[in-house]
Amino acid sequence: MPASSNTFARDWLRLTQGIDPDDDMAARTDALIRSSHAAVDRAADKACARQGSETLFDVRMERFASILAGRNP
Amino acid sequence: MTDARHLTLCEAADAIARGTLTSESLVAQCIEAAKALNPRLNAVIALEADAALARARDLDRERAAGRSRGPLHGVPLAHKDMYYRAGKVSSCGSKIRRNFVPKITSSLVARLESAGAVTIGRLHMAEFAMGPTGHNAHFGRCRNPWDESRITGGSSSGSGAAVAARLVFASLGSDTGGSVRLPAAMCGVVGLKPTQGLLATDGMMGLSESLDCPGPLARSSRDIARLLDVMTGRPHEAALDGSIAGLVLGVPTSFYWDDLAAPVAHCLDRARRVLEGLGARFVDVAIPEHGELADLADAVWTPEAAALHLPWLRTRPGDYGAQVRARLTHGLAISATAYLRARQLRTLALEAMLAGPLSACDALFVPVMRSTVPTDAATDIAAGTAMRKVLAEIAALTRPLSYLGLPGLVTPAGFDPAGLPIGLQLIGRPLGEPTLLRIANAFEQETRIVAQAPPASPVT
Repeated sequence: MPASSNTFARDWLRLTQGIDPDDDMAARTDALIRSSHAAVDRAADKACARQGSETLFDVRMERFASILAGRNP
Repeated sequence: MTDARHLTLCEAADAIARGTLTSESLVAQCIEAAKALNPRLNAVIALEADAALARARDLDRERAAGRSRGPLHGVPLAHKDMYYRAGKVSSCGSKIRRNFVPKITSSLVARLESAGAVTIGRLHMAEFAMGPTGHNAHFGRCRNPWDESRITGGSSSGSGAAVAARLVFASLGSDTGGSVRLPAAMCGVVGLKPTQGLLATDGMMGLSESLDCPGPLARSSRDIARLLDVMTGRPHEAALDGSIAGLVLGVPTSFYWDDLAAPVAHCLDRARRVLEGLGARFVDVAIPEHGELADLADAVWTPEAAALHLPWLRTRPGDYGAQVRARLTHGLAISATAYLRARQLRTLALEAMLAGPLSACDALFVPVMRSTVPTDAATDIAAGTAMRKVLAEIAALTRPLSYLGLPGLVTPAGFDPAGLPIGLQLIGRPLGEPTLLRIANAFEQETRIVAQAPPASPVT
């Protein structure tokens, strides 16, 4: 893990979350920021491609609960 | 006489209703068994023997007078230690809440007790319901009644072990990524993750407001149906009977069946033949890509959990177990935009499942885990990076369903060569619990696998 990555994660946790991380926590945070965000981006790109749209602009989250409850969203 | 602890919940409740069994004797047997077995299993955090026996005697007097509280009258239960009961400790499996006394009672527990259930104690769980193994840095490991060197699965570890070992007849667990289905599969009992929103979450420890799902574990699908009747007010037990001939079970052509361990594949193949013999029809179905659903689930539940835990992460980080603190760290790292996009994608993923495979069948037939039940040693933090790989694999086939919000029922399908249980998972449409229970009930009646008791449940 490059030192600069850990530094970013350490600063990010301290400045935005008020948490002073140890080395392991900072390293793990850096890896997770990259992998999770990349996974979300990939899934969004695929979903948009399937729908033929550029963004998830028209997806309303309450539609999820409506579908499960058997209501017409 | 056969130990009454080996009855199912419905059999025990019906025997009490007929007057052939008393609640007091049944509660006493369960408490004695818990005292005898808990030093080995560590499934129970605390017993409430005096209060439970007093309530059982009250219920026996009521029954003798011709009164019944309901379909669970006199039956001993205990729940994952995160269901609040006003004035009683709920540790949430944690050091931080070891002595927490809630002011409210879970409405699910209240409904079960109103229907006559006797709560006999509080059950082991992963710290703050984060962990698929049954390990707990503060309360020690919960051990599998089938083989104490194996994990129970988690996070509803005590629920799985206690129901399997005949310490209680059923238990409430919770399932945010597999926490009911995994211990059910690894301990050889039946477990249901209902449709998201079917069961109330008030008075239950929060982990992820989007994915948290209370769910029961018991020793038959009929027991689960009766518990659902009580908790939802909708009839499930009455819908159990009848042939499953003509029902269509979908077998996904990707993801779920990739890289299965041979004993799991063999066991599910036999289960398929049993169901075909009962008249169910199997069809191959293509499913939308599942490979990223676990990552998307993590992008939803981890920031929600981190938001709940943030004050303690700031002030008491050393009071978390190392693995739990690491998982919460994940949540701190998810941006608001990634979290919201993952929730938006959830809707699209659900629509794709309903328009695709679940429009072509009544339920999906899939494994719960790709592997057999892992050992404690393979999942211990001391195993390092190998442990992380095993942990990630344990919930690989359960987390997608939590993200999709659909119901999933696990029932025992057989045993591996070492004698450890292997479960099968049925996935349904929204509010499709009656169909899942009907299929599982037919399978259980035909095979009786679910009636087999583990070595650590001696007849007393």
